[in-house]
Amino acid sequence: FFCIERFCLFGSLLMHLICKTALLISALLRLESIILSMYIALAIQPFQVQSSASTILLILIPTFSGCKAGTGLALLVASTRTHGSDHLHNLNLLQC
Amino acid sequence: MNPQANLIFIASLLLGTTITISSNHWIMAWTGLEINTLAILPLISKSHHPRAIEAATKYFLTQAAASALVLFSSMTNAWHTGQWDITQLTHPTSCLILTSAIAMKLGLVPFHFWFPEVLQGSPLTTGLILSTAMKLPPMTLLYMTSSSLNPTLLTILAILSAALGGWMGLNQTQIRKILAFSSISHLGWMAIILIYNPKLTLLNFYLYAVMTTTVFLTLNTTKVLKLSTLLTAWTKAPSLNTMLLLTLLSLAGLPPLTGFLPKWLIIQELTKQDMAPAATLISLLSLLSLFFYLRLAYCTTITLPPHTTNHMKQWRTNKPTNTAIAILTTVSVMLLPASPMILTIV
Repeated sequence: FFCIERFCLFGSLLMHLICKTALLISALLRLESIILSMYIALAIQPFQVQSSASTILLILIPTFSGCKAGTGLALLVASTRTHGSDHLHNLNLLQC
Repeated sequence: MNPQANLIFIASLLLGTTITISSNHWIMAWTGLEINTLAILPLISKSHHPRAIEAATKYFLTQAAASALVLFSSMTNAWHTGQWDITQLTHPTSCLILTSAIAMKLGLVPFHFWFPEVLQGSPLTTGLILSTAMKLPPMTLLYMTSSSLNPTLLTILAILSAALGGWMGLNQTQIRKILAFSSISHLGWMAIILIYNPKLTLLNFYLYAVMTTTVFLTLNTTKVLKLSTLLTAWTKAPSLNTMLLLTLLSLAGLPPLTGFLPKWLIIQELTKQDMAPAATLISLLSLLSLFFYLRLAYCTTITLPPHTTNHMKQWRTNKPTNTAIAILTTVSVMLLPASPMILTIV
């Protein structure tokens, strides 16, 4: 039950990330939603597999994903300062 | 940059790399990769130039997605087999997702689009760290899971990497982008031999890291970023320019130089494993990258007019050359006769 649901949730979120999004902030939101869906699945998993060894993961994953979210927001602010907005189409200074 | 901040970032890079290399649980590997990503972002965006911020944004988005995929593949494997150990990654879906995640982290071909732009937007020393040190943890993860990965997928990724690394580097005039494409084609060589003899992958990586470090440090000394600047860089440090010529030819893989060793051993191992068409194809495709290496090498040797310098040596003196360049140049040019010893070490 859970595995199909988890695959579908994760796959759809990843597809949203890969598809062209207009704004950097929506890309960051989708990234966070991917990691959050994985975290929820990881928290539900011991009900099926009956192992109690993954407690440290439940703490480490939100720690690092929080750091990543903060860094992403800092980059959002930086790109707004240099490029005027966070439209991903504006990031074309470095093209071949 | 602020020395204390610089120290924190360099120490975090070393910490993240060490955590991933010495891990045997997937969560530690993921933690190390995350620390590396977070620590190098300020180093890329150090100058607050729009190009640097753009490079940092692209790097962040791709690496964050790739880390999420690594975690997802390990969780899928844990769900199906109950194993969190890195060497015990046996579920086929997990291996597929892990290969594509590591390809995204390294810059192998379907996922290479971020790499030239990020390298172009970052300063030269940060570009050096991006090309060599940041490739070590994902390469280690590939090495540890190499026995269960899909050979067809890796061969296709490798040949496409060699092809696209060669073709897309042909029309470039910015040296950092040329080095990015050279990195992509070298990663192709590393990926093709991973299934059959992972130690050759590591040997290729070490020698590639040494040669690329030499090139980046030499370019940093003469402050060269474009081909047009390279044409007059011989006035700043003439002998250093000559060694840059030899190092570039070594990167290309020409025989009396060190860069020939990994290519020779990889082709030998591929033919032993009955993969002669793949070996032929990848060596023919690295002729494309030979063209732009030769063009770079040609630009380092031009000393006759028409050029803008009237006198050979520039009147202003540069800072003295790094002693590391001397050691690395010697290693990256003259190590081929020591190849039996290298084979016993790796």
